[in-house]
Amino acid sequence: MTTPAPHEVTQLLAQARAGDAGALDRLLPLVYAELRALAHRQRLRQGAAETLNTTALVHEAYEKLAHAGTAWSDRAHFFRVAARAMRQVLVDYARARTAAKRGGDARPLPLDEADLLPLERANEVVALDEALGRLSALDPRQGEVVELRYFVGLTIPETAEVLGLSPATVKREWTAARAWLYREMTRAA
Amino acid sequence: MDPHPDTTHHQRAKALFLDALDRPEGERDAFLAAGSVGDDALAAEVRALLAAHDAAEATGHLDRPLLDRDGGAFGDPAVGRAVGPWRLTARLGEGGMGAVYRAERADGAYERAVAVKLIRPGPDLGAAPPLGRRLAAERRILARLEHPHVARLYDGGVTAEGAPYLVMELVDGTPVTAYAEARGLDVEARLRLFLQVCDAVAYAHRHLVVHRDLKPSNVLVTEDHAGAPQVKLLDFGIATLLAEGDDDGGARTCTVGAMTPAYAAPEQVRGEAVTTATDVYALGVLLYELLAGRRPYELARRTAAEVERLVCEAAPPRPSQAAPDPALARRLRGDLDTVVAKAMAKEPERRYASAEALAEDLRRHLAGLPVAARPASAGYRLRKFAARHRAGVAAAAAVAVALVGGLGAALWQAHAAQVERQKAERVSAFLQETLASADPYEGRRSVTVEEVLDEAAARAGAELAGQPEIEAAVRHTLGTTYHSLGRPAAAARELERALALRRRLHGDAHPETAATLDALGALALDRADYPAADTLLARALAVRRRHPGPGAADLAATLLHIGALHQAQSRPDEAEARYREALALARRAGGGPSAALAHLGTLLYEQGAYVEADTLLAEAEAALRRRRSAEEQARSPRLAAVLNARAWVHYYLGAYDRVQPLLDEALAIRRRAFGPGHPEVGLALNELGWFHQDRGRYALADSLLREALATYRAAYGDRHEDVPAVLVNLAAGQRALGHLDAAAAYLEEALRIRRALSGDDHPDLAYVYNNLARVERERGRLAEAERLFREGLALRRRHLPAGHAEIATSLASLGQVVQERGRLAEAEELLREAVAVSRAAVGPDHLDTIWHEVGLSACLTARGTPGALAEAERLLTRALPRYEATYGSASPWTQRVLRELAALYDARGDRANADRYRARLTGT
Repeated sequence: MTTPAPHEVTQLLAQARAGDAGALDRLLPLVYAELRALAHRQRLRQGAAETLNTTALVHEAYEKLAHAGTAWSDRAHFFRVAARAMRQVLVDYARARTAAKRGGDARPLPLDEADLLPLERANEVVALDEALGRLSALDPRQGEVVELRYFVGLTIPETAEVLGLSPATVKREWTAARAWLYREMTRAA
Repeated sequence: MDPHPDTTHHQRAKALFLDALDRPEGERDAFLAAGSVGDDALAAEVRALLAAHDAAEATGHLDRPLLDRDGGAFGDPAVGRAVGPWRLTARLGEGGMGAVYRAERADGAYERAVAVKLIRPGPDLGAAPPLGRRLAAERRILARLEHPHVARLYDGGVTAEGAPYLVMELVDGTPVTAYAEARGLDVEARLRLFLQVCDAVAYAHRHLVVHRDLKPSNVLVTEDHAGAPQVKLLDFGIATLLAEGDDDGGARTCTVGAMTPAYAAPEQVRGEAVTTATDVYALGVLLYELLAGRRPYELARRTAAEVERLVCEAAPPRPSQAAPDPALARRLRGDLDTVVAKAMAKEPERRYASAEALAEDLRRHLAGLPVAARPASAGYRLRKFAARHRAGVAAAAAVAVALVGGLGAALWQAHAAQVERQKAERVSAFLQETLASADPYEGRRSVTVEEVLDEAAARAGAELAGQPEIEAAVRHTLGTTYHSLGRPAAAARELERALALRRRLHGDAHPETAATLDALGALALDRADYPAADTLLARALAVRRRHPGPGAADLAATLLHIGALHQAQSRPDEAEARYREALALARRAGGGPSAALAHLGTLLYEQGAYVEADTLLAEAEAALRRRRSAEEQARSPRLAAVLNARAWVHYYLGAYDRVQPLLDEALAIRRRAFGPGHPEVGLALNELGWFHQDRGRYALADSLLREALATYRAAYGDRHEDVPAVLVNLAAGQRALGHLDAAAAYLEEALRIRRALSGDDHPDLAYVYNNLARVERERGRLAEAERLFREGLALRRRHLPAGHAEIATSLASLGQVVQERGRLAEAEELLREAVAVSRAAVGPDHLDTIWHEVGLSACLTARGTPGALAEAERLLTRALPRYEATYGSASPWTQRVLRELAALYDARGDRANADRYRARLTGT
């Protein structure tokens, strides 16, 4: 796995700021790869620790990928992409974790195969990911709120900062998204 | 561009939902009626969302992020800020008292990055002033420490906001345990690395500093320019001044601060005084983990009380017992076990007096000298001497154990055969002489267990030539000893000779001949030579019906062997009859019915009669424990077998949390009773590995299964059916992890061994084919999967009686893959045949049959015709109560039935019923 050159990331962030939505999509695979590598290292550093500090991971990825001169607003862009990448990392992990039960096609574990998630939680993640895909199609903003809150672990004010919304709005979006997902996940179980 | 109608609907529903949520519950209906302006679908959607909201609130749905984070915050205001001359560039993590950041000199005066620990004042840490004093103390301590293996303290101070901070050497290293694993270090290299840790700790102790939180993440390894590993000890942040003279008198008793339960000493867990001995304990745990590859206690997800009990009272397995492979276990047994045990003694005064003393003992060990940890008995020094002079020699202790066992068996044998006392004495005298010959003091080199037994066998021929009765008794004893030591070929040789002698002496109808026939029969059974076992045991039974022995114990023993044979031959009814007869005999005699209880209980468990099986097995366990001291229980293979069976009964009853302790104890007993390389240990490892795999603990399962494989291979070579069985389990683990190539490689190997065992045309190959087929299925190669399933089916059809249950399994697997390939009519036909075969084989009400019916209903649902759906409904509604009654509703089997029911009603468009079943699905 190669680490992308920092300027590449900075450039993509600048393009995104200039209104090029596709730039964020091109950024995703870079961030995804970096998060996997960092997650692996974090787990190596912590030995048998059973938690993965997702927030620290995203910060670390940012430190590593973004050039020192990156603007603050780009940082928010970065977090939005990183949230999606984090979701992919964790969902890939959860899918591999549940592969035995589902009998489906599974990619290798992106993280160490230690018990990062109990199986029940892994099942929840897979179900959530599917429901979240449908939600994002209907309401991208709600999808982003859930990604930042659930997969990165940001608080309401932090999420608001990243998305440039008021905390009250984030709270309402979150409440509505949670109810929608609950219904969807219990329906699709 | 108009928004998509779904999006519009979603936005309207969202807005209405949020507004409704702001109203009191009683007003919501009216509000909805008004707000939805006649759009019933919208009103229904919002009602569903409101209900979902209440349920989500009640269950805390998604309330917590997927993974806990420990305090990390987006836009951490500290990152980017200056702290003194340092600019914080990234958050590295959380320490005992606050966050740690990576930092650089703001003015660029200093190139290297450092670690800055920013102390977070908080209610849990008390008011700021004492904290400030503690930190000042810490700075003074740390500033005094200057050692190549201790991370340096550079600077410290107080931020503009008044938060104290420390600036330390930034160590970009790997935790010592992970480093050792990654580099594949051998035991010597690990010890040398650990000696660096000891030196650093000893240095700190000389400066009156206790670390108090030694653990791998605080012991990092970097490599110097020559690539040599260098240990750096981090985080003396919670060190406490030992000496008087601290300006804060309360510091010594302050209990604030981190400790990590896995490495905490008993006194630390109890909140008692912490001394240098506390660090010695943590060093012991670290050494344990470095050597054995795992920690002494499994503390994850335990309550504080459980942790305290385990750490303060439970004796952990020795590192050699915890070691993942037999070679490592042998390397650790003895000195290193003892050193770790002494470092980890529960009472501080029994530990090494210092880290230096611990290091010194390890240095002695590395030099091949006796360690101080153990009082040097003559025997110990002797073994040490022997080991230095001849590597790989078996410990005299093992020889003694084998011979004591042999003697015990010989004496029992003498009694059971009712030979006269004199004969018994001569038998034991002979064995004692052999024992003496194994003693190095007799002027010979040390010998292995097998050599002692071989020696006895050879001498029996020469020295007992004129005494056939004694020779027969000795050979019988040797044979049963070889058998119980897991050396079947030698056992057969000795028992055959004993049998020949006894036949010549007494003829076939004599109790002594019957005893040897029975022993040979049991051996043949273990070697899976069923026709031979059948003949031998039938002849033993005929004699023992006339000579049942005291308390009918001999007759009962043979009945149990025959029952076990029937069980192995899949003739459960006959097995049950034999076991019940043996049980009745044992109960009548008032003796110990535990063996019969255990056999019958195990059989009933295999038949799926879990509740009765558990009752019998519980009685067997109680009987076995009653008659044995704790010491005897700890090495009773019978107890292990019963615990094992109980474990699986609990498993099938869905009481998963009760399974592991039973399997763990069974494994520990077998290790002690049989020694590490014995096939019984392999069996226990295989089962424990399977269980952990089933529970998703793949890494652990993999190490257990690998050890099982190594154990079997050491005992049998490749030529035993247990070897491919473990390979298939290892493959299943790899498959679950998505490592399909690795899974396929294991299966190819299993296939090769199976073929070598029984040729290309044997029904047991089908098992491997089916597993290969599952791998192919997951690779998306359905055609190849189908081909392999067909191959397995063909083998079974050729070799098994028509209507065998395994044919049904093959048909069901094939049917499923054909269904996935979209050939529904053909799939239905296969699945119907699976059901029919299963009905004939095990009966229409057997759970296996019902399981095949569930598979058939899935296909019927996919077909979707009204007739098919009606039949699926009938099958599933019959299956559900059976699975619930047997396994409860949370088991994966019951859950699948519920899922199929929901799918069925979905297919029918019967939303109410579909939801009713879906509501009963757990998490998935």
